Amino acid sequence: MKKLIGLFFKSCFLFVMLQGAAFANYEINEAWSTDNRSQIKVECSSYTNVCKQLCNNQKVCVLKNSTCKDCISTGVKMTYLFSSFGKDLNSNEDEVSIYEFVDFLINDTFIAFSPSNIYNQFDSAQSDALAERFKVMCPNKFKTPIAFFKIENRVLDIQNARYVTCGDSVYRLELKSSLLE
Amino acid sequence: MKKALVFTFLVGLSANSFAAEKCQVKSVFNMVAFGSDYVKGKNLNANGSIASGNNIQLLNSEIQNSDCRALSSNGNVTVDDSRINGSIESFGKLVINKTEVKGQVRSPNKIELRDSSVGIVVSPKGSTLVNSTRERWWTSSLINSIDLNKFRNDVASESKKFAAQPKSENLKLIVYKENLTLSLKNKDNVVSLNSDQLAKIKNLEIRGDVEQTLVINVTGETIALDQNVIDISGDIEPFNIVWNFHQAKSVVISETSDQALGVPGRILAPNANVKLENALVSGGIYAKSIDFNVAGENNSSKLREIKYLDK
Repeated sequence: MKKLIGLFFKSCFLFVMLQGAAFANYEINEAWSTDNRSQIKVECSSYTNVCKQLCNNQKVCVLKNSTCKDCISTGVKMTYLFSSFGKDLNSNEDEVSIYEFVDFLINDTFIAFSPSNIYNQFDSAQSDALAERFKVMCPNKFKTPIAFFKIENRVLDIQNARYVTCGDSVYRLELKSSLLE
Repeated sequence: MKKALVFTFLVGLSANSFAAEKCQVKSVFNMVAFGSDYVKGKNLNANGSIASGNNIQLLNSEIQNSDCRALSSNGNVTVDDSRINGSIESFGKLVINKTEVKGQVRSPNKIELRDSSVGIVVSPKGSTLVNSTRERWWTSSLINSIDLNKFRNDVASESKKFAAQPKSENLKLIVYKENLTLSLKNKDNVVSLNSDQLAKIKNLEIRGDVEQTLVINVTGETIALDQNVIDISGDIEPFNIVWNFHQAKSVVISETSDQALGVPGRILAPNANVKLENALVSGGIYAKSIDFNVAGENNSSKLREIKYLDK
């Protein structure tokens, strides 16, 4: 009986801890519009001003995820891109100021990739493996990171990797190989 | 008749004991604002208990601290055109005008009520009522259950203690343009800024978890927090953030009222006059004196007692 009571309290404690761990003041995820266009959704708790600064809404901002004209292919660039997440493309473990990231979202044209991105034609059969490699980019072990690249004239240059978002933390995304230089 | 009196006495006693148990003020930091010399102002919306070692003067304000002390003073209390959800306790002259008090009003002196309604009047000298209503009155003498002079010393000693703490070596400061992120690494963290550095910060983000504390020691005699945006991230509780203005003579917090938390944390300024103008503070203010919205006719400020975030 004592063991059962102990187990009950342990479960309660674990539940409370997990609830606490789930709390974030802002979270960045990929979302889909009704016409199936990729969007970046930033959700804010009532304790942060990040959404207000980003789109003048206290709770949520939905941003357009740009497209790139040379991305729908199984060519070398896209094959390399999707095989390098979590390997050659990785975070440098230094957190970036959220204000720097907000500036980037406001001022630059960007394309964002999650493991379920439509451009992933090379590795779509191995989505679990890709999701695992994405997770490697988050030093805080966040499960659904998103990689952000700056694009110009709708052309993706992998060397323009900028940030990876991991829940409410943002890290600088770096290309650690000179293969494409 | 005797039975009725005994019954009334017992009911009164148990209600008093219950209130005392529920509303214990063990520390000055159980209050949302404490001005050792005075608390004065208008257009204030506060959630919590406000106290002064001397006088309190409020106009057109709303104080929410139901069933507990809303205002406590060793000196005079004057409340005009306000709504008080809680009790008022004054050891000087207590004057209430055009105000609704949902609670007790207590003073050892005669209480003056004009165009007001109150719950229970507690005074050995009774009250003067002009166009006013009271539900009940007791003539019991007032017992000072909180030591406001001790609170004054507690604020000073806490501030001194924090100021003496060395700044944390491995606290991570991320600077981007006029924005600063403080990423906490230890359980207890101390950072030191001067008043000029603080004034230049446009956005300040404090990243920490529920177990972590942060003391921000700010040097300088004149402090201004004007439109600074302060965000907290992670689970850090506002109650665990301390702004220690230990050298300050003057602190002005302005234009933070439309932000999520305004200034989150406890503000210690034992030697300063703290002025709030269109400001929001989510935590508490413990100062020599506090003025709310004295500069602008239409300025309004909010004080929120937030010990733990509602997640």
